[in-house]
Amino acid sequence: MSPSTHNLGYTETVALLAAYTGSKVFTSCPSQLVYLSSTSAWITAMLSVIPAALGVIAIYRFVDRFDGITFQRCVELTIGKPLGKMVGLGFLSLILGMDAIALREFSAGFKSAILPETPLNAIIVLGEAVTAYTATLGLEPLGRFIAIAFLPLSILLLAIVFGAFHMELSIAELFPLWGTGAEHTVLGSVQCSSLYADIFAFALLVPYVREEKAGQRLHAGLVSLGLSGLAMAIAIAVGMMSFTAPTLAQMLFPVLQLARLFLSGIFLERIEAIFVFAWLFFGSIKVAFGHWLAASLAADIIGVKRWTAFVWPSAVITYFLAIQPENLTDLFVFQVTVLRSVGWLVAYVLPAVLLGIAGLRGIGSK
Amino acid sequence: MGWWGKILDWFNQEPAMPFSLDPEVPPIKVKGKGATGSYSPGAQEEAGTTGESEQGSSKPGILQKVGSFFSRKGKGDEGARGPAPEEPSVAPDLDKNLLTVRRILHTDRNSDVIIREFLLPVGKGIRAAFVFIDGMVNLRAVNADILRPLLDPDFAARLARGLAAGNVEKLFPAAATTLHDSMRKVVTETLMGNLALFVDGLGKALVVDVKGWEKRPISEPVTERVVIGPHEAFAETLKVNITMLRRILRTPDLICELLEVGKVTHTQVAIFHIEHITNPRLVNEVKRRISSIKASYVAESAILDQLIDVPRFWMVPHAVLTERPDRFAGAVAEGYVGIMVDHSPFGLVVPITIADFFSSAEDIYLRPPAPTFLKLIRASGMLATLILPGLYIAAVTFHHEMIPSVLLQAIAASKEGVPTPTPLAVFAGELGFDFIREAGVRVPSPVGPTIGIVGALLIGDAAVRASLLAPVTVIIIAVTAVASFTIPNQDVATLVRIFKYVFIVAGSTFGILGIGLLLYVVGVYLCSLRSFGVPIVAPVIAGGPSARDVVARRAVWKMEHRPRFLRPEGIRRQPPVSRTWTLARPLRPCKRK
Repeated sequence: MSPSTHNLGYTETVALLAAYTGSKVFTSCPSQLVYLSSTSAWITAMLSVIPAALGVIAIYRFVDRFDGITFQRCVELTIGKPLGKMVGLGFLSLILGMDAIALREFSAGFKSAILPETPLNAIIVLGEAVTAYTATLGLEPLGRFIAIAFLPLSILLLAIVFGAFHMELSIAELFPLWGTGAEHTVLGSVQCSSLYADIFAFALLVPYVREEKAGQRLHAGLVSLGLSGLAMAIAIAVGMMSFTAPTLAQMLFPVLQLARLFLSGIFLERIEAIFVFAWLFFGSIKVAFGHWLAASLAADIIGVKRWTAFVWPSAVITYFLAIQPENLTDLFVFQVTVLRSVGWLVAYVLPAVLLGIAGLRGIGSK
Repeated sequence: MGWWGKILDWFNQEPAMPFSLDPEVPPIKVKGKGATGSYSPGAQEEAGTTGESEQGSSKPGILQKVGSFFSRKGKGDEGARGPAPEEPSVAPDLDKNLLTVRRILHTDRNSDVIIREFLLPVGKGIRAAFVFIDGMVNLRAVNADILRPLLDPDFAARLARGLAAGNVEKLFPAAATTLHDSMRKVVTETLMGNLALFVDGLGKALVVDVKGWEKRPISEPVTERVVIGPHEAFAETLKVNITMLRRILRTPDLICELLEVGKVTHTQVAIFHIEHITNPRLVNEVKRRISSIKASYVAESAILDQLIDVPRFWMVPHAVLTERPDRFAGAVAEGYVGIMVDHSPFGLVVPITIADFFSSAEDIYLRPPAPTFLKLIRASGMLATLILPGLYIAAVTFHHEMIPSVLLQAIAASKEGVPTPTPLAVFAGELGFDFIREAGVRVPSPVGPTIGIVGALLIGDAAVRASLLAPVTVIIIAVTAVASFTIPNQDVATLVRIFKYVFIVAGSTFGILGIGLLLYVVGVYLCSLRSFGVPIVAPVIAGGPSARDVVARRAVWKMEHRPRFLRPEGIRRQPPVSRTWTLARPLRPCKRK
């Protein structure tokens, strides 16, 4: 696929990547982090941004060596076509897996929050159809939409968070500050950087981003990562102050629970239904962008230009993956044990290795 | 080509690159081992090729090779239809010319085609004839300016000398005369209300502009009434409309180019732009689309609007349709392109943006913050029309927690004894209101308002009394109906009314989730639309000084830039200090001695 068909601006890139990476705050990720790091989870969330940022720099340096061509072509030029296609398939599996997890978690969240009597399957199918359709419209519309919606939705969410300060919040719940120990927290932050493994999408996005000033693309990647880290840290900190760390670690949708606590005056007694709109838009963008990533990568691996042909097949695969886990607890355990362990290796270390190989072989240097 | 070849070709085809007003993208250089050369998206678009232009991809892939093998054309595919038929030209022989005219204009059946033969009083007399359509010419002008001079021997002699010299165009006192040698052109001009004069031996026809038919005078706008501002609207005659525009934009840089569309209608289309302000790429794209239309019937701006539409745009209006010369002129002065169609009292302004959905002609005449406030009201009205019925159904059916307990009790009490399910009640109520609205438009005007009031009373009061609808449902329907009238753009208003039902269905089946997902789809769909290369959501995302003016209008003296998304040649409307009197020393009150 040629990058000439898309043209993303700086704001759109930041909004898209921040929504893709940061929308995890609506799922069980804050709880996972508390489960792993206890009371220091909010510090871990911020510290994890540092190794993730190094990963982003590695990704950028690698793709930037081959300015103007897609990530898959970069990989193939670096390590050869056969091996490159295998690596591409690995990345494709990761994207599809993460997309399926997001779809399942968001659908289950909607079911438990607002539609308890509707079958989960119906919600997943609806979500899948809607996101696949919007993915076929292309990258630019997704970027534009989230660029418009990002600020109002963020303000809404911040209003919820700061509205929560009217409730009885206990700062004491944030202590001990280093939870399981300072050393463990710092070292654990490397593994917990898997939380931001979705930022790997940046690798596929770079050729489509318009660069009006030098270094603007890298800046966009880093800013979106920073915003995601900030959102995660705020959500965890407020969650802990509201529910205590042990309780938060058991919650599947901590931010939704937070929204349920918030009493907005007399007119809106509970605001979770309004909160759902923010949740919905971020979730839809995440899944739709995942479809686009999968489709464009699949088209690049096969070597055809019509990436739209792969959107619906990727949606079908995602659907079947999404309905695999028996329940959300199983998914929770899978994420904590498997994804957190290997996610950072695939998302950051592998591009760094590719960068090293390209550097040693002198391929594609500008 | 076989079906397998078609499939492979489809896979290898890159999605079409949308037209953009951005300047050409410079080719990107890629250096290093295994990567040489450059690619340019613009060049690819112009060439119309689908070949991969990336680095290292000059060699076709296996699928491309197989696809191109299957897509090879057989011998003799091109030029199978043969050359186009030759166009008839005006002959020196008068009889031959009249025969051709009679055949083309079907004079044996068309009784309004007048052909009058006569002798020019020169020497033994030269045979001549004129052709015109009865009712489309000014008969007084024909008699006084053409027939009478032609029968005058002096004039006839001068005409004969002119014919010999080949300059007869300035002989007649009529407004415009031109010589044509193409019979098709002569006939078209005749059908437009001109008079064609054939002289034996000339080999050309003289077309004299004597148009004159009954037309509606300039009147007040019907769909865009304002309190402040001019009270005149476009008429059906293109020349009148052009004059109205020239009266407002008195600049030599105003360019009005005429094109002809419609195989049957031969409608004249005028394209307006201002040189050194409007982006030439935009002007060229408008001309390209209009000139390439092959439709037979193009008699109105609204039809042309649909013909210059892109496929993905079919639901949403593609251009601003206005009947106000001041609004049209204002847009052209901003860097937009204006299009006028003969026989249409509406002008088209392209490109359209989402801000135009909420803009009224009066906005520019109001002092801020009134225009911004009114735009917000209209946007809220549009949102309410779209989602309020669906949201009400979702809240009552699925999400009781959204409604305060006291209000919920009141709603429950009002619904007591009403057997109709809420989704059905809302759907029926909305449908009933649309019946009334449509009936009010169709029935004769004195009865229309009565139908509206009686219908509303019937649906509202009687349905509540009969326990078919709950009072809250009637309130929701009424609020939705009133809100729908706040949308200034008729096309958008109709679209919103249609989509309201989709939201009702979504709210009835999936509650807020359905409404949210549908809003998301509508939002992304709108973001995917481009009107002549400009994203229609451009004013909201483009940033820059112009965006603020389009969404939230500031004081006129602060509006220094034209919309940036149009990529105009002249971005600045006025200097940073447009009120130079503010730079002068302020007047101080005189001191009393």
